[in-house]
Amino acid sequence: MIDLSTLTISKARKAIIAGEYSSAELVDEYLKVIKEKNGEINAYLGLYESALENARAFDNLSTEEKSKLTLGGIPIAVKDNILVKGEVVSSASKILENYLAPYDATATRKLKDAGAILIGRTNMDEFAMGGSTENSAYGTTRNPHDTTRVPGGTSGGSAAAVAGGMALVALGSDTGGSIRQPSSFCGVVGLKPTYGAVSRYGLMAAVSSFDQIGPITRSVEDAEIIFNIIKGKDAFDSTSREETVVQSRGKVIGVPNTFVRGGGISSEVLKVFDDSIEKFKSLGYEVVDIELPNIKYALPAYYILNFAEISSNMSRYDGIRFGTNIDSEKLFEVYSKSRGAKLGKEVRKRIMLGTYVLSAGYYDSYYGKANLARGVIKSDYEKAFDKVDYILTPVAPTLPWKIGDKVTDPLSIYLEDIFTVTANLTGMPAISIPAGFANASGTKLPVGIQLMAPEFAEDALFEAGKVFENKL
Amino acid sequence: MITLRDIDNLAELARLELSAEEKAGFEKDLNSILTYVGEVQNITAELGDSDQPDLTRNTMRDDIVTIETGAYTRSLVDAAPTHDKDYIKVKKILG
Repeated sequence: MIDLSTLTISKARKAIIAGEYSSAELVDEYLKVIKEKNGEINAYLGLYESALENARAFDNLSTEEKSKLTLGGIPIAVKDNILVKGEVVSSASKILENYLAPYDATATRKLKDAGAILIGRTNMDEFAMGGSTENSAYGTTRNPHDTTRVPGGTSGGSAAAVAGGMALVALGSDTGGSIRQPSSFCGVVGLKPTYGAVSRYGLMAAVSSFDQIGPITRSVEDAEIIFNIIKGKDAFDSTSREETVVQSRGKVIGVPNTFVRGGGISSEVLKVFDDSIEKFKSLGYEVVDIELPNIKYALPAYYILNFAEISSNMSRYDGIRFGTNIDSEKLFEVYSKSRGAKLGKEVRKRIMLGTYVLSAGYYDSYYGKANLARGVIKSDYEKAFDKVDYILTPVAPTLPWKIGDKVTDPLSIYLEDIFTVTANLTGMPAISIPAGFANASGTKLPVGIQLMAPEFAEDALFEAGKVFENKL
Repeated sequence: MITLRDIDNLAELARLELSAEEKAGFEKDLNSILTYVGEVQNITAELGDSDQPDLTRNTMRDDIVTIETGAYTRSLVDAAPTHDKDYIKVKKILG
């Protein structure tokens, strides 16, 4: 038996190289847990059949070859919107049911090149729209800490897989909090890298000016290891870039108190947040109050840009080029019937909203104003970072809710993104770190905190994150 | 305010077939969401010259072919719901 509950990448790698167990044995352990738990949790939509074979191929390498591979033999799960060549990739949508990836995403290719064993694809909100994984066309994922509650989303399957011992590491994608919020809800670590730090080649586009791929792990160190492998400029993604300036950060943490304490946040979350501030203070950090004058426009601006870019990006799912369709006599009806029947409700709603905010009569008052707000908010953050090294907030304003509780009030799920969208609006990196637990009708539910830093200051997030994590 | 007529128009522009029941639901949801995001219209702050967000920049690359011709033809054509040999089959476009 391998003790999966305390496993990290470096421990697993050492054990594999020392011959304590093989990669195939480790993969097999995870497959056993998946077999046992996935029926209830629904974290995986499918397993890659080649996983064990790939693990055995790795096991046949010489010790010298094995030790050269940073992720040699390490099992990793992949969100269902990231391409792994030859495998089904559906974005949890019916329109891409049985769609086979024609190539590897740059992130998955880099993991493979580092020796990782990709084990399966994880559940998500369809095309990365939602905040609970309830918008999957293949059933909701359940939170391993309390299976009557949501795991968060949109990378809910990835977070639940890591939290439930069904994967050591998972890739997610983050458009407005989709890595960080499920990580917080499931009690694991999630990093949204700087916009452009990781190539999106092979990631199905949701909101092109926000999307980033990032790791969901059990420790800050593991997130750092994965980030350092998948980052870098890529000729296949023109928005990717390399930052060579080393971002040395001090120990001053800014807290936007007016924003955080302005109402709408649960008292349980606030208590863990306040405890975390005290922990940082006891670790030698200075905590100061900061103002973000235009922050109230962040969520409205985020959603307008989200709808606009989604309506454009989703136009490629036309029933002609990918996946499945509904046949009809007229071309127009092939489009409208396929999209009407095979795209989920939330996806269709956002396409409608995006079409509206981009239409001639409303473009300036919605899309134009949202872009202005985005610039002003980015400027507010840059000014704040002149004075502080980090910005600390909660990840989400509430605890994981009961499955089905928010289905009838779609706006209330949008409001869950209040603390996370600013990292996407500004392009800055942010990490969600487990900070404690709260009691909810007898169950202990995890609560995370979010640290944000200026562009390409991921190393600073890892540094402060590790210090905080060790204090827990 | 978005009316049912607007919903019909948007659905046609977006190539989405919606049921009557769904249209009514969307009318309600879209109005509630647009009221919320419409808050952004109250923004009074103005961007200074130095605040212009750096969202665009030129990325140049060499004008050379990086993949082998035909390397993806089979998998891309096979991904289409209706195809024949190396072609994706579509309905007649011009009347």
